[in-house]
Amino acid sequence: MDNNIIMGDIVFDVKPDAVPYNCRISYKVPQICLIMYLCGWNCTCSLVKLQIISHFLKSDNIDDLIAYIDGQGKIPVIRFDSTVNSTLKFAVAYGLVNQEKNGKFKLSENGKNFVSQIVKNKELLVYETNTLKTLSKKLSEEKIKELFDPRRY
Amino acid sequence: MFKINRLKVEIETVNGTYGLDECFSKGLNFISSQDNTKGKSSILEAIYYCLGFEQIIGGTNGIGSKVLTSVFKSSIEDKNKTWSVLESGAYLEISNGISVVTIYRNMVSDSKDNKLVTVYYSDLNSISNNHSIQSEDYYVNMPNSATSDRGFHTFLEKFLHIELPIVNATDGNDRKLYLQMIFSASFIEQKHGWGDLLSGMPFFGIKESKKRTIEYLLNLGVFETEKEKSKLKDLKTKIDSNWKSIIDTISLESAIRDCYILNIPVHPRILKDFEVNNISIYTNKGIRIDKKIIDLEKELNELSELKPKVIDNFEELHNELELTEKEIYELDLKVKNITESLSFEEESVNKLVKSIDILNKDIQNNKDVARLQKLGSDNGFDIETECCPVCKQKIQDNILVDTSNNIFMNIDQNIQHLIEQKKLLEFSLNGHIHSKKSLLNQKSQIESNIITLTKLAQTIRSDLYESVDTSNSETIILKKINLQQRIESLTELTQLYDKFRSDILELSDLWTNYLDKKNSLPKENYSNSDYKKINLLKTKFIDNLKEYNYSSLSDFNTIDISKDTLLPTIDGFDMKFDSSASDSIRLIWAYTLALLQVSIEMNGNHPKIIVFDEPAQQSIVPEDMNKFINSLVKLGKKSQIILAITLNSDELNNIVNKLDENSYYNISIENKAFSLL
Repeated sequence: MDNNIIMGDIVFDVKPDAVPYNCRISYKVPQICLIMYLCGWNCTCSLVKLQIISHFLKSDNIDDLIAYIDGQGKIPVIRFDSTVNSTLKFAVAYGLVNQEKNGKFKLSENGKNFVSQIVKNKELLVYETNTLKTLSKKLSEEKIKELFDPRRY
Repeated sequence: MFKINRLKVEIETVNGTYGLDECFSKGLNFISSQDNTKGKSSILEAIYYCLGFEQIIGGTNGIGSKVLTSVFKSSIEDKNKTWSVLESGAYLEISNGISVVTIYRNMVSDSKDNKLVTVYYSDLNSISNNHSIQSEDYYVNMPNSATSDRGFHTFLEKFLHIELPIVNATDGNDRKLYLQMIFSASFIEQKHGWGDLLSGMPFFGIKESKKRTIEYLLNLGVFETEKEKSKLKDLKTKIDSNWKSIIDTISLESAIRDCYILNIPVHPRILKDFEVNNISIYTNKGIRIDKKIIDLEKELNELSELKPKVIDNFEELHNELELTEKEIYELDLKVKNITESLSFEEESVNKLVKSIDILNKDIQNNKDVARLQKLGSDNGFDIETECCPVCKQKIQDNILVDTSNNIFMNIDQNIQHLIEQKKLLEFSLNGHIHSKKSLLNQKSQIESNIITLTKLAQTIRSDLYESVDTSNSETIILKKINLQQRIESLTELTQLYDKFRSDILELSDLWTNYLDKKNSLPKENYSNSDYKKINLLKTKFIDNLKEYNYSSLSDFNTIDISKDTLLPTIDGFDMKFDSSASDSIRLIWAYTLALLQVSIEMNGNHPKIIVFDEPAQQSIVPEDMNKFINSLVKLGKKSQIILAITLNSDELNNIVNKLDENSYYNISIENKAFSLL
């Protein structure tokens, strides 16, 4: 074209994409550690338990879960999330979490230390800490078994 | 009183830990060596660095370990061998006269950011012996480290019981005076410090920074004036908001009554009488309100006089009915449109409010993530996710997909990105709220019009088809009622308008008052006791100069402390212009000490610590040096003075040897300051 106003080429640089916080390693790893610290006996949780709590934390209806545990609520629908599994891998790699012989995951000394500092700092992960404290250790592995018992249906 | 108790530097190399561990006492302390380049300045650097004052050495941009000498950062020499530095850091034990804390700041470390300073609430000995010592990390030389709770200088300010004043900055905002600025008046560093009075002061964008600092050190009353200023500022905000509120009220009341207001002064100012008279209310058809009221009254009177029978004006009534019905129909259409747009606006507002809620949560969480990453750095692992914890390949902070092709924002960019988004949404939300409001106004106005018109139509109809010939026209009665109502509401508006006028005149008077007070605030408001302090500063300064044999001047009476800068002048000129090189060193001695002396005598805010690095600059003769050191000894134990000095001649050695042994403490450096621990 003769009347081409722009003489040079136009180059588009790739601009960095925004990442939602709950897809960040640096958010998920502390979150998982916090769940183990506040909701696991002896800082230990099974994978399924982590999945369940992580789901309710994300969907902001932990009361439904508590109601179910107390035998009052409906059977909740749980969505498994692959990011929880990959987060665990990272947590293990950072040395914050160890896998026990029975397959459950336990916070290492390093991890306990790290989480205790998060809890001590009253301004960090406030929503998560408060929510998990209301749930506390109410969700036992027995309850989980019952939840997934095929005879229930 | 601020006192440095002990400094311990640790430099890790393959050959072992090099370093230094020295105590300091009250009163005069020497750091002396026989030769240059032994590490005296490095010792002082470590002290500055631990206190987060590295900007005194390196200027405003000299943040972090980059201002330090190479011995801390890259390599250390020992017996003609060079060892590279693996890690280094320094402990500084300080006391405020009551309690003792120890500060640790690392210089070279792979795992910990050197903007993190650890404060142990104990003395240095107990840290290694007792593991239950409480410690906390603070940020230093980052945004807000002087104001936020986690900022190291906030901690230091509290610890030293200093209350820093708020001062004007060049960008028009108010800021706290910086600790670095205060200490630059007493830490005379070797490279910049001897250039001019207070020349080591870093630039932080504070207006008249030297003057503000000296005012603070001498505890002058100017900050009272500042308080007065801030009171006036409050008054101004109050007038502003009242002004706006009464204007809003009158505008709204006018709008409800189908009127508008002209010549309204939007912002506070001094109003002259004619300006107030010019403010007037007009109806939407452009008729002045008082004239409109008269017109309406006239119309009402005319109506009262005639009592027409229906039969006389049948056609006229018929036409009027048609017109009225047409108008009602048009208004109905308008209302329908407005209702539609209103529901649209409402939906937008709801959506936006929800989005902003979500964004707020997002921003909070992202900020948490940023802090978690920093917390991780303290615990020996980096969740910074620059590299994979297992294979050490580069990865990005995203758990979902294979990230090799895409670039993702780092956490700071992400936060900024969200904040910008929020700004955009808030802007749009405000727009929608505003247009919703104005639509609601329009709607209620039209609806009230419709009601009036419907009533009119109804009465016309009943006149036409129902009434007996002889009866009075109901239309006319209704018209009369409407007219009366209109007159009433307009009269009410004029009353409101009268009140508005008196209110705005009152505010205008307040405004005049405010401007007057503002102008009468003295630019330099020194009280009598302030003048006493300034005069004492002058006397002390001149005494010191005489003592040190300042010789560029024959008549000391021409020396004055300028009230504009609080710095010494001769015949109104900066004193340094007329001083020889060695005399400008004496000038700095004299002034730095005079500040301390005045502060001790008149209860000033001086931290009561002075550091001189190589005061024997510019070939000062040993005799004057002797007098200088003696004047330091005279200050006694009320303050702490640290003097780094090269004793490279017999005369200088003699000076120190002649001093009473109890009057000073000597840290003598034989070989190199940092040796194997």
